[in-house]
Amino acid sequence: MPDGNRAQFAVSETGEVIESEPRRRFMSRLFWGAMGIVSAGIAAPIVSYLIAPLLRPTESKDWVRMGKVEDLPLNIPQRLEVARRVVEGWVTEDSAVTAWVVRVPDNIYVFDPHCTHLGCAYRWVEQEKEFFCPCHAGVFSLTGKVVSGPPPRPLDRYAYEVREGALYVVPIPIKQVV
Amino acid sequence: MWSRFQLSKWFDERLSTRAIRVALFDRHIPKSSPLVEWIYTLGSVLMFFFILQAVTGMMLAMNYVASPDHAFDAVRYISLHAPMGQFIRGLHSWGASAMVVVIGAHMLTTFLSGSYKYPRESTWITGVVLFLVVMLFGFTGYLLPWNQKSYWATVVGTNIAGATPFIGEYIVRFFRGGTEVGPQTLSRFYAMHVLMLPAALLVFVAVHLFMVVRQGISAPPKRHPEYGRHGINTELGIDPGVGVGAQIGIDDQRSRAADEYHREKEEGESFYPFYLAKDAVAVLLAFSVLVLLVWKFPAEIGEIADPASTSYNPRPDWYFLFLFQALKYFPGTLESVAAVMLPGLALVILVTVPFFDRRMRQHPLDRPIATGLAISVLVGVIALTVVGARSPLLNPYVPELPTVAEGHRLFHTLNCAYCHAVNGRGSHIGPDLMLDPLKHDKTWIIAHLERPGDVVAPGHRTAMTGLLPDESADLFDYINDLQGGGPYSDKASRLFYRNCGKCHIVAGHGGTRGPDLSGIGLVRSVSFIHRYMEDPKALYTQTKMPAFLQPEGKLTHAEIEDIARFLAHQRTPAPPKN
Repeated sequence: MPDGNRAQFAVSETGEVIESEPRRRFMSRLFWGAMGIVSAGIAAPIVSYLIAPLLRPTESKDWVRMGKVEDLPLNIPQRLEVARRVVEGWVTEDSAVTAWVVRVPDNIYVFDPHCTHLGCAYRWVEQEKEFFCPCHAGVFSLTGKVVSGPPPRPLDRYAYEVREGALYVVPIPIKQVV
Repeated sequence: MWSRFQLSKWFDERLSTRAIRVALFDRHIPKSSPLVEWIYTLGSVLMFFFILQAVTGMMLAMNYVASPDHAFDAVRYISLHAPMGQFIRGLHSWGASAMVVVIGAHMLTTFLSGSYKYPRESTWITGVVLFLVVMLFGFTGYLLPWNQKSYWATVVGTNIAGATPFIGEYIVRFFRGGTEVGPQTLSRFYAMHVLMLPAALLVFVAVHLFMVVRQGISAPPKRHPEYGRHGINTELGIDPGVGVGAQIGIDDQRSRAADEYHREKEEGESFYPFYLAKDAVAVLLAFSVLVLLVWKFPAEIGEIADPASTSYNPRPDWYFLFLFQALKYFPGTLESVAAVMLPGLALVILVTVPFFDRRMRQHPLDRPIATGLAISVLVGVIALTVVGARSPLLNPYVPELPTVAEGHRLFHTLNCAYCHAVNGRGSHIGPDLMLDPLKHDKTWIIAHLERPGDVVAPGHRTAMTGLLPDESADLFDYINDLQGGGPYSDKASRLFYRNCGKCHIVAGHGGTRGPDLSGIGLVRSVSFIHRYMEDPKALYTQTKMPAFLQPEGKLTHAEIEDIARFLAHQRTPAPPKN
C-alpha cells in the first residue's frame, strides 16, 4: 500500500514525477491517523481480552476440609476424597479433591495422589506396607520416600493444617527435595 | 538491510504488485460534490463494520458454547468476568445494529442514484444478496445469548417464516432443526452464524468489491430528462447534438453515459489518499458513535431462556420489528401476505429492477416512480418499526434483580425443591421459603449453605456440599426476595393507608376502587411492586392508577421501597369476589 512519504516523489501512471503536493500529504496523514486511532481502539480491548488467562492466578489456594483427624487410623494410609465447588470460566461444578493421608503418632503426611514418575495414580498395598504405582512399578514407603523403581523424587505433598480437630489441605502439589 | 523500495521492487518483479497497487489505489474516482463524496463512504463504513464484527465475533467465540446448559452462563461470564468482555460484546451487539442501518442507507443511496443501472447490474445483485446475508447474521446471532429476549424473538421470527403458504412448516423445521426452538436450534444457528454465513459473506464481498474496482464507482447522478424509454422526449430535448424529435435508443444512452462517466473520471482524483482519507474519517466517526453507544447502553445479559415462561413478551430484534408489526394488520389467513408475500415481492423487485428499469436516467428527480416507491417503502418500514416499538407489552414485566435471578437459577440447578417448597410448591422436608417466616439470620443461612456440616445442628443435614460465597449470597438474595425483599419500617403501613388506602384494601381496611392487595405478596415481588408504583402506565397502559414517584407523584424512592416491602409481605389470599 502507498504511504505518506511517497507523496513527496509520487509517480503518476505514465511515469512522470509529480511534485510534492501539500494536499496529498495532508490527506494521506489523515488516512493513516484515523485508521491508527480506530485500530488502536479495537486492538487494546482485544489484546487485554486475549491475554487475560496469562494474568489470572493459576490455582486456587483455598483450604479444603478433608475430615476429622481423630477418624484417621494410625499408620494406615487413607485415600480421602471430598467434593469442592470450583469455578472454571462459566462452569461451576463439584470437583473431587483427592489426597492420601498418613497419620503417624507424631505427624501427618498429606500426599498428592499421583506418582512422581509420570503422574499415574498409585495405591497402598497393605501386605507390603508400601505405596505401589502400577505404571512402572514405582514403590514408595509409608512416609513417601522412594523405595524402588523409576520415580525421581519422594511423593509430592499438600500443605495442611489442623483446625479444631479437622484436617484442611491446599490441593497443590509441593515437590520434595531429595 | 533492504529498504522499503527494494522490498517492493522485489515483490513487483515477481508479482507485478505495482499494477495491483495502481488498479486498487491510484484509480481515479469521478469528480463529485462534497456531500456525495461523504455518501460514498457508506460502503467503506460497512466494510469496517464487517471486519469489526468478524474480529469481535472471534473473541466472543473463545468464551462461548452453543448449548442451552452453558450458553447463558458463558455470555454472563464474558459480560461480568472476562477483561473487556462486556465492551467487546457491546461492540458486537451494537455493531450488528449499525451494520443493518448502514447497509440500509447504502442500498437506499445506490437505489436513489440509479447506480444499479448498466453496467453495474451484477454489483447491485451481489449487494442484495449481501443484504440478505447480513439480515440472516442478525437473526441467527440474536439467539446465541440464550436469554428470554433472544429465545422468544427466535420463536416468533421462525414462526413468521412459517406463514409461507404450503412449505411454511418445513421452513420452520429447517431453521429450528426440529419442531421447537431448543438445543438443536441453538447449535444450528451457531454453525450458520460462525461458519456458513461468514463464508458466504466473504465470497460475495470479494465479488462485490472486485466489480466495484473493475467497473469504477458510479458517478453522482445528473439530470438527464431527455433519456426516454424509447427515445428522446421532444419537450425536454436540451442536448444541442440531438435534433428535436430524434430518437435516442437505450444503446445510445449507454454510450453517452459511458462518455460522460469517463470525462468525470479523468477530472477526478485518485482513490488513495483523497477518498480513502474521507473513508477513514467516516470510519473513525462511526466507530466513535459505536463506542459511545456501547458505553451508554451496554449489552444486557437478561434472564436465561425459559420455554415454560408465560410472562414473557415475544418480540423480535428491532430490525425485524416492522415485519412483526405488519402481521397485526393481516390477521388469519391473510398472515402470509405480510409475512412472506410482501417481503418476497420486495426482494423480487430489488433483484430484477436493473432489468426492467433500463433507461439511463439516474437522477432521483428524473425517476419519480422509483424515487416515490423507495421513499414510501422507507417511510412504511420506519413507521411500522416505531408503532411496533411503542406498542404496549402484553405482559407487564419487571426483571428480577441480577443476584435474585441468579439465586433463582441456583435454587433449580441445586434441586433445593427436594426439601424446600416455594409458595406451597415443592417438598416440605424443610421450611417453605416463601410462606414460613425466616427463623435464622443471614449469617446462619449463608453458613448453612457453605458449611452445612459445621453449622446445621445434628439431624438437620442439608444435601449441599459447600457453596461458593457468590452462590450463597445469590441464594440468600433470592430467599430474601421470596420473603418480601427485607424489612419495612414502622411508617410503612401508615404511608400505605394514607396514599393507597382510598383505593386498595389490605388486612380488611381500605377502599375498593382498586384491587384488594391482601395477598399481593404471593404473586408479585418487591421489585415489581416498586416499579409499578413508580409508573403504573409503563407496565399496564389501561390502569387508572397515578404515578407515585416524585415529581409526578408525592413519594420519594425510599418511601416507595418501604411501601413495596410492606405490600410484598402481605400474604393473606384475598377473599373471592362475589
